[in-house]
Amino acid sequence: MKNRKGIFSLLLRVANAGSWLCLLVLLLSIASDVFTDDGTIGSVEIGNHHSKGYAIPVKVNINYADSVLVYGKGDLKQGAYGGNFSYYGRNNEIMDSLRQEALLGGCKLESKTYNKIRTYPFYQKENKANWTYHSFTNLDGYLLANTTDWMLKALLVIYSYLPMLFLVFIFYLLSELFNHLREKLSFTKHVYATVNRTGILIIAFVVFRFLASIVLGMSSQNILFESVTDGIPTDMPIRLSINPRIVFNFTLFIVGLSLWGFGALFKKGASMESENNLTI
Amino acid sequence: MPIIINLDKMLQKRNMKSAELAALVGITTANLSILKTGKAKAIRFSTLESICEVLNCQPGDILEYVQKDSKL
Repeated sequence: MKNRKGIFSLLLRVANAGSWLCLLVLLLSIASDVFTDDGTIGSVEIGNHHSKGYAIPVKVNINYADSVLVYGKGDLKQGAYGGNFSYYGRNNEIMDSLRQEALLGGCKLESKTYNKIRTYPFYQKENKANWTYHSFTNLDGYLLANTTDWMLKALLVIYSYLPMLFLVFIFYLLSELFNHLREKLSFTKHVYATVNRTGILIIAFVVFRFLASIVLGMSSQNILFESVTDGIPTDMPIRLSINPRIVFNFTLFIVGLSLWGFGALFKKGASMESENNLTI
Repeated sequence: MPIIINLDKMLQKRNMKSAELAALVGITTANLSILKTGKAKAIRFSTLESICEVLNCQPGDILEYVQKDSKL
């Protein structure tokens, strides 16, 4: 039977590189948080910093009064309206320079006056893939927030740094597993223990983030953004409301649960292999 | 384990060394040691057949069942 040493060697290298890279990023983030005043190292800005706050998961609800969606594949103006960039304006009038740029850059307004964003398609003249974007709805994101409550702050810090720490451990466990399989492709106690540990770690990570997001959500306030000029909401047709959201990565949870289940299978395999080895 | 391996006795009777038996049967001395010390989980019929052939004996001469609570 082919033992596929090459594949395991490759996977081992990937896992090792991933582990070290994640560790480096984690240490850099912590160092930037602890040793810098504003979270910047040279021209690199780290998101999480005690002066600005830490990321809490939020859902952004966007309300449009009367809007258009500008999209296209323009290379020149990619930052302005490339991909599925969203844009808002009123009726068919060119409201500001961004929309004007979009039109000048090769997008064309297709039809008449509409009331809703999803009915305002712009087509770029040379859109080879023929994409038509209709709308964007609620977005999942993170909001940097800070609090004076030290318990919540501690939770925020852990919540922010945990994903990278989790990746370091996952890559480390995978490198252990692949190293073992590269040396000896067999069911052993070590293999099943590593698979088991990986599964449990993934489940623990998902459950912790889920519970932490509930706590953060319960103790955070909803936020509404409005355009205000001289204290009066302006006629801008967009409103953002940012609400804390509960995070539960179901896919990762299923992967963790499956690995945990497979751990039992590997245990059985290890026992069978041991019996087989002791059959003379 | 209630199954006793009497290989040592048979080897003594036949005036044969473990290494010699292992070579004739076609197993490693390490595996023969596992068998002799009772650490083996199972024995293949082919191995048993070879041992019986080499030692000119019956399986019952090598394997013996002893009840757990019986005093030897």
